[in-house]
Amino acid sequence: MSALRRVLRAPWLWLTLGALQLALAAGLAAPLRAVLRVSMGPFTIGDEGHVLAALLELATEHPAIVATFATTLAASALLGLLLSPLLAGAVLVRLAGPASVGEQARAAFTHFPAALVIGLYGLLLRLLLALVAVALGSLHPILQIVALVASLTLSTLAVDLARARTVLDGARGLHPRTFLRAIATASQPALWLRSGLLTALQWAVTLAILLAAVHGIGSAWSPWLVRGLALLGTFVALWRIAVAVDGVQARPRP
Amino acid sequence: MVVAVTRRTAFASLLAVAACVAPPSAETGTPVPEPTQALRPVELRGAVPSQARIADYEIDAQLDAEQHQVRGTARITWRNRSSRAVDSLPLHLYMNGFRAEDTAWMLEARGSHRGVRQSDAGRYGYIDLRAARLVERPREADLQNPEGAGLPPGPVTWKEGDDPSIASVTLPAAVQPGDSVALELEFVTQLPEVFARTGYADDFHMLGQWFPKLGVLQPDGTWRTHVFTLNSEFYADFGNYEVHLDVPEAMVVGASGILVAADPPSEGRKRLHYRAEMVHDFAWAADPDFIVLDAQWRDVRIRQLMHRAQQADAGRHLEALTAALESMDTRFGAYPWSTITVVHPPEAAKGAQGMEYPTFFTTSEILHTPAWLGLFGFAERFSGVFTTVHEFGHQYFQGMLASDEAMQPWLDEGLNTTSNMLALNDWHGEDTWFARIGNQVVSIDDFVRGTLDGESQLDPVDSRAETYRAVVGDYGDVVYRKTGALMLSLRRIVGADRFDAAFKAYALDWRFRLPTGDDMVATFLRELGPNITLAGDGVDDQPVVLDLADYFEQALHTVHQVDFGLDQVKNQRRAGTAGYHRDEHGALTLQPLPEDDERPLAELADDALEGVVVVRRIGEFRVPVEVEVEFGDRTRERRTWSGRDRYHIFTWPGRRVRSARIDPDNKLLLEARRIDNHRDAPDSARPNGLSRPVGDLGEATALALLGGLTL
Repeated sequence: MSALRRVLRAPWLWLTLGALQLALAAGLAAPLRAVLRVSMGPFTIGDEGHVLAALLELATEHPAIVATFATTLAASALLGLLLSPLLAGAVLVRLAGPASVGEQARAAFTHFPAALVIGLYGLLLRLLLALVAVALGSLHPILQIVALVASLTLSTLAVDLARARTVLDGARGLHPRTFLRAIATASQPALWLRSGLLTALQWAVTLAILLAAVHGIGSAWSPWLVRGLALLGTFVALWRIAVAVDGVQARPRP
Repeated sequence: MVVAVTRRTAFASLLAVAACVAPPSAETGTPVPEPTQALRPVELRGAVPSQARIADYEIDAQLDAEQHQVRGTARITWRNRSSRAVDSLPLHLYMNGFRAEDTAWMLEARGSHRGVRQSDAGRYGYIDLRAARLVERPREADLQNPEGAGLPPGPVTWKEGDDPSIASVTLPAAVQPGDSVALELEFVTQLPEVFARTGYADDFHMLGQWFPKLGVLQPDGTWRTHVFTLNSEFYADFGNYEVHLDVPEAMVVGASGILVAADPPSEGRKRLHYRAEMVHDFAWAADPDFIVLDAQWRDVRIRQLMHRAQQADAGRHLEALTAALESMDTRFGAYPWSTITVVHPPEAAKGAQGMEYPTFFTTSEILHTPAWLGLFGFAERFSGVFTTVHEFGHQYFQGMLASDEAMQPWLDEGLNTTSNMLALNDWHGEDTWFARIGNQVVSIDDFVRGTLDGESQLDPVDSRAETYRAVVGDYGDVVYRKTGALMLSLRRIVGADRFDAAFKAYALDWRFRLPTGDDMVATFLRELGPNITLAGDGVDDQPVVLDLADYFEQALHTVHQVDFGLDQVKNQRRAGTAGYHRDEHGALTLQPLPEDDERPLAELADDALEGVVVVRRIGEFRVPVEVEVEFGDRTRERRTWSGRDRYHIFTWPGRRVRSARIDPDNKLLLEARRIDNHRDAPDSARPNGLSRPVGDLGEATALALLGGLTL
């Protein structure tokens, strides 16, 4: 089964995760909206082209705005990091084949510690490879960029594969050997290329979200475009994980 | 001089990340012949008052590039144009401000200037007077007494002041009114490693405030010399300068005035003769790695000196300079000199950036940020080039209008900043943006307002330079930007044409003179009148009058802030006639309440309502302000309020008020707090315009960070 078909056969998974993401973002931004509303009091700003100047003026008088914005960003990043291992079990089980909600929940709960540790291994690998990429940068800047992209996509695939083996094959996820074997598998060019392209697409979607937000400050279209892109981002992420599921399930079993 | 805005981190970070958008560069680099006269032809520049020429300098200086030292002789011919005999000559020895940690300058600076730290090697600079003597004065120097004997030649004594940046020469006899004296001084100037305007960095040498200079004899017969402090800058009389420079042959030199002669190099050195006329200072820079790019504006020779690595930005700087020349020549009278020289200090000499001297200034670099930031719509267009516009502006404020920078720094820095903003408007259009992010812009008005809170309320604009303490950090905000804001606010209140005419009159009346703040205010009062009737409807249809003297008094001599707010914007039931009234027979009869008495305001017809707007003057600054009201039928009406009382209640019987806005045309640049200037009536309330866009931005960033739940 192709990776794309796995995702298309799990529309509720995508929609549920997408909705969860949108709800989380809306919830995280709600305190920011509230503090702005309270700080503005009964007043309005007239010229929407000068939002930044008004925001700076208001933030000077109400430092809570800056603190709330920073908290929103930090909480988003933290949630993103925690949700990834928490949801990994459920996502992998569902992408591997039909699974009830209960099975998905059980998989998520059971494999959370291993998925979390694999995520940390992945972080370590990213760090090491990034250092190598920076060192290569002394030879040529382009080389550095290529090395960075290669190392980050490889790390992402390694994490996906290690988690997939843990959840689907019962590998010992906490053991570093599982992750090391995943790295070896991830370095297969065809697999790496498929996953890497999807990882890059995910980055592109993230960039598009930021661009739409910055270029559309105050516009009616921007928030909806951003939300649509976020749903697309979730879809691409599932597709990327499905590539790892393919990689694990296509492997000859002992 | 440009002062960095270190405290406005938001704006600074905006600049730091903004990408540069460079329009096509102006042509630069074609060699332009050196003018033969230091001043432009009289038919182009206008007359220069002969009585303005007070102090001539003839300097012979030799640069030791290894020791970073200048040995020289300065012959100063000074004319006593006062009605009082003078028996001593005070001197500025500016370079001694860097002589030791306990000079007034160093005590205030504490080792850094505009963010540049003082180095340990080459930390100190000084100027050492080695000899002083009277010499035969030029015969043409005396005005009222051309055949007079003058003072006899011979040595004279001198003494440093309590602070070594000033000294005094005692004359053997008094210089009589109309008489002159020629004083010859031998000096050695040791340059510091540059961190504040002057000094050296590697082979680069910037020679500013490098020779002994006379103080200024005031009309009341007292001398004005000031101890050199962090912000005091300079003050001097006009005169002609003949400067002979002996430098290593490899040095490429840029200097005030015109190059009159260059002797053939000999023994690895060369001699250059420069002349500057009707100036009050002379500066020069030398560096073997300079390249020279010439250009021309009308008959004025423009010369840029820079390292090759900086060459790519030369066209942009030239474009800014020519825009400033066009603007200021039109607004403030003809540029009088035949040259202008721009020095781009190299990276190692950042401390020398952004400083002005007659017909010569140093500029700063254009920020170059990564191109990918352009994807986000980041752009800025004034880094570096604003320095060029600003330092060129000083050719007028204080190059020609040579006000006392120590006593009233706002007269040069503040009025120059005003002229800069006008020049930028002339160049890019009104309310031009200086930075852009996505679909948002930060205009120059936004930037100025962003600097007018906090520290700008601590010292009045009209304060001595030494009043502004480095630890407080309000010098730039008050002297530069608050002055600019008060002048441009006045321009918008009284009208651009009237203001511009008055400003030009000040510039023309006082060129080659040494105006004070009182002179400027008096010129504006003369040109605009003491009471200015403003356009538009006042309260009760009475015209509103601006008391100009009061405006300047508040703006210059107090720390009062302009701040208005909308206390109330609402509709209330119009007063009816219900109740007991006597009828024609004298009996009390009851007029019943109207049938719609219990209905909510939103459901009432407009003629049953009365719109109410309460405008409050929150700040102490009293100034007329416009209020615009939008009614339920979307029509608008404006009223001008004198702003003298603490608040004013506007009512519109029979009309439903939808919203109100204070200062709708953004005239009061002095008003930093404007969030409370726009308010809707409760029954017409709309989104506040900030919560949604910023909340959306926060939500989008959260989505980006969640990253598809980072799966």
